[in-house]
Amino acid sequence: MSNVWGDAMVEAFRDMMKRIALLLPKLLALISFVLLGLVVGLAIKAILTRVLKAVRIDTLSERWGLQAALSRAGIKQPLSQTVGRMVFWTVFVMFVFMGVDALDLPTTAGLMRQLLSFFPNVIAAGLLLLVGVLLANFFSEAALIATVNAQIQEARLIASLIRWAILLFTAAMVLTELGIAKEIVVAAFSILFGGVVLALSIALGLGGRNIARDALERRWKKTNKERDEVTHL
Amino acid sequence: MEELFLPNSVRERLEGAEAADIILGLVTFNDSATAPGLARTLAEATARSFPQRRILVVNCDAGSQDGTPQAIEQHLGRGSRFWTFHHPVHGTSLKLVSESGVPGREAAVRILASISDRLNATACLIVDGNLRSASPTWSQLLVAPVLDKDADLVLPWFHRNRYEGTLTNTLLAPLTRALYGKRIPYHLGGVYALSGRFIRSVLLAQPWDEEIAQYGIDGWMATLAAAEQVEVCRAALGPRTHQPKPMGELSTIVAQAVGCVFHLMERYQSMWESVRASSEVPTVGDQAGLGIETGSINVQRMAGGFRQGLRDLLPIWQLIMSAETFQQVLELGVEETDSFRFPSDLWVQIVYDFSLAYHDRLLHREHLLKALTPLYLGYTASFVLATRAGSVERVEQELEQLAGRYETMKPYLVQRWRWSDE
Repeated sequence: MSNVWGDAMVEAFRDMMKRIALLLPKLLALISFVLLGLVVGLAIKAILTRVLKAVRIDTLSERWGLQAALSRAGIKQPLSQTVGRMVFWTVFVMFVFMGVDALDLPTTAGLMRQLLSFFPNVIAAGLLLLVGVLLANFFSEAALIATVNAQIQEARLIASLIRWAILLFTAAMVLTELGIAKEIVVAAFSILFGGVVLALSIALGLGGRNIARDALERRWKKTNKERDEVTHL
Repeated sequence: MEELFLPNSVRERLEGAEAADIILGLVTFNDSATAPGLARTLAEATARSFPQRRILVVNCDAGSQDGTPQAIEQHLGRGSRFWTFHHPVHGTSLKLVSESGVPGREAAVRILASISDRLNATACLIVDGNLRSASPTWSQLLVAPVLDKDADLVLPWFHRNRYEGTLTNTLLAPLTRALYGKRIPYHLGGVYALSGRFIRSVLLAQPWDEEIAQYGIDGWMATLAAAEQVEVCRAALGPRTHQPKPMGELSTIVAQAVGCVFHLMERYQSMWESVRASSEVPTVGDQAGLGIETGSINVQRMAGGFRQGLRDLLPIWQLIMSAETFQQVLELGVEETDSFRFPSDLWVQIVYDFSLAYHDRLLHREHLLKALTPLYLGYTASFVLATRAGSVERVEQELEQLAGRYETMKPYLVQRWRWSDE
């Protein structure tokens, strides 16, 4: 009886030790990958930031209006630092995944392969997001200025609607690109977009018929009283 | 190579053509009501004033549907040497707003300048076909300075009413005067005379790409007159009336006219940085001040435009203006329209801040220029409110003081422009 108990204990202990002995190098590999990712990521970030600064990307991004758009989107740092930071995190996360892959756990098997196959989608989604934010800012700004100059009182509302419509559209495209709940996103977007358009049509048709008529009349049949004879040039 | 832009019809006509001393260019588009009479008046008057000179009348038409070129030819009769061409209209120029209503005017002016150059003309008079008020004295007033006084460019100086051309009077003319030191009228009225020398050395040397089409040839020409080392002269032509053509939205007019001056500020930076004072340019004809007519001005609507800008465009203005200027704009407010006042110094500072923001590309340039419109309306409303009870002399005095402020505050512009370049 005592032998059986002893054997079981020894066996369990031996198994445990064997597993630890097998896991330890993998754990060390994970730690090494994390540290390596940190070092490589920081090195690449430093080099890239310097290169981007050398080619005056910050000045150029200001000139193209990219910096202003990014700062309005909440990104206040210069473009060189933003790009550097993004690259650092990309490299670091890749090394972490390599480390997790090295653990050879059944649940994380092939993580790196999956990540690499998913990477182009992430890049495309990131670009879509950037373009979407820039377009949303550009068109909402254009709409705001145009409606203010036309003295339409709901200028800010119109600009916000345009901004959010483009952002919503962008979000739907980004999620589709990433393959996250594709069907739900398409359905939700269609319902939401269709619903908004229908709601606006009904609201305008039923509630704002007279207002719309007055506005259109004011726009195209300006009375002489309203039209001044100032020549500006 | 340099004449590839010329339509084949022009090139064929130029081959072996007899030289001309004066080119009388008419730029038209559906102007059969005005252009034939205008052409005849000017052609006869030019022939009378300069009997020894060979005159060629050239009509550049944008594709009239009302038979304008044929009507001009009939009206001129066989006594005049007459050519007519269709000038090309490029996409960019379709967006332009101009009182002439002629699309592709810049292409027409380029063709007329090239014809003048090829035929060794001494002077080229360019006139819009929709002008009604042209008198026989115009050809003498415009062409004689080029032929007899070595002027390179003669610009029109029309007799205007007190609140006519408010953008010109409160921004374009005083800014150009402060920048380049020449007090040119900046009346974009579609009539000017050019010397052969100016055409060869300045006008044909321009880029002639989309830039000119984007900003309009009139503003371009007026700024060239001020910025280049050329002899400029202004001709007092009396009042100007024209066949009205639909103009664009005010914000488009502002963007186009102000954009032209701002754009050329970058090119002529080395010219204007060192200019400290301004001087009059020679005048031909009888000088006249502003007319007494006030016209119908809806000050409430203008103040409303400014008020809305103050409510909705603050985040954009904050990006464009310096902190000090922005604070002063915030303090303006428009509670009572009648007592609303917009200080001239603040207006000048705003214009300079916008030019700097344009230079630094702080915002998409068209957005930036259009965002100036409510501020312009605010200043114009204040200007009218402050002067409408006073005499015409008071208006002239105010405008002169404003022009003076542009000059005295110029170091602010120069200093900040240099900082931004560093």
